[in-house]
Amino acid sequence: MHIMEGYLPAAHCIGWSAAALPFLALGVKRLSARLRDDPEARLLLGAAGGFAFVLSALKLPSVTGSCSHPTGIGFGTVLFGPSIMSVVGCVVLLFQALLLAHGGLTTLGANCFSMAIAGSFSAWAIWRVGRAVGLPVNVTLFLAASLSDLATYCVTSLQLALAFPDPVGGVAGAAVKFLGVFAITQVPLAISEGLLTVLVMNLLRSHAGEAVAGVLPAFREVGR
Amino acid sequence: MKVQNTLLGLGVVALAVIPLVLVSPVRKGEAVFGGSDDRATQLIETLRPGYQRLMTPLWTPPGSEVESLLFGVQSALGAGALAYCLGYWRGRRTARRDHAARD
Repeated sequence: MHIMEGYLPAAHCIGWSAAALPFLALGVKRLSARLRDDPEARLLLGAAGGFAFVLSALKLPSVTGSCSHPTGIGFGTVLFGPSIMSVVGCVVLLFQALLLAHGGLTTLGANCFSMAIAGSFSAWAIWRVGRAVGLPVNVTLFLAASLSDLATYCVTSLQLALAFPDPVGGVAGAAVKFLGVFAITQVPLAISEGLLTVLVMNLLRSHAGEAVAGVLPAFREVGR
Repeated sequence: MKVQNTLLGLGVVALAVIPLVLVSPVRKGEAVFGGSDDRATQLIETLRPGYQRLMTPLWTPPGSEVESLLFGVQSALGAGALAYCLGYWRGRRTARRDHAARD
């Protein structure tokens, strides 16, 4: 989902950065309040950030013959809410832009918007709706993680289509082409992300029930 | 829970392996399993031939080996942080349980 450095016109770079900033500002505010009120949250944040770091470094092969990577955003969103997770996602993207030449500084706003913001807010919406209608925890978790992963790549496709409309088909035509590159590749990866999110949350709930007690019901202790 | 976790892990492995089997290894002059980000960049080049990018990366890893090193570092840092937290909580829970058993 990384839009490579320099591949957006200046107006789009500024526009997406401006759109991302209020979310990030809110996220930083929420994050500092959360860490002040609950020192334990520091550790949980490390776990959520770690998960996003691992998943966004895993370039997995897909059925379309190209490779892409999951985002790891849904996991932390369930634990911390979308605005805090937006900040974490932005840190991951900055790391990749500066050290890996993946994404870039001019496209950071747009990439933050698709992965960190659209990803976390869609995960949050799915998580809340799923819980409200009484879907099982792990099913909801799977849906939130995998669909938000997919949403990120759809947003990236739309961002690119807006910047580079097809000479014949316009924005819609370009969107179809970019979705062809990103969305189909991403389907199996999104499923992987959903499975991994449920797996790690299972571990978290069985080994550290009290750390996530406010969010998820802990498993009954094994062997007791 | 153990069964579920094993199945989840196997599912992830299967989803990564199946494409390797399904996609034929040679496509006409095209790198197989290249990054989708690069495919998108190629698509931009076809939509806007001769597009001048606004900026090039400040620093690019010298060579694919160094790049894979840095990706390795990224996932190691992430896995380390996650495992540290899980181990810490698990250890604390065990310690509390032992403490409670002694009292």
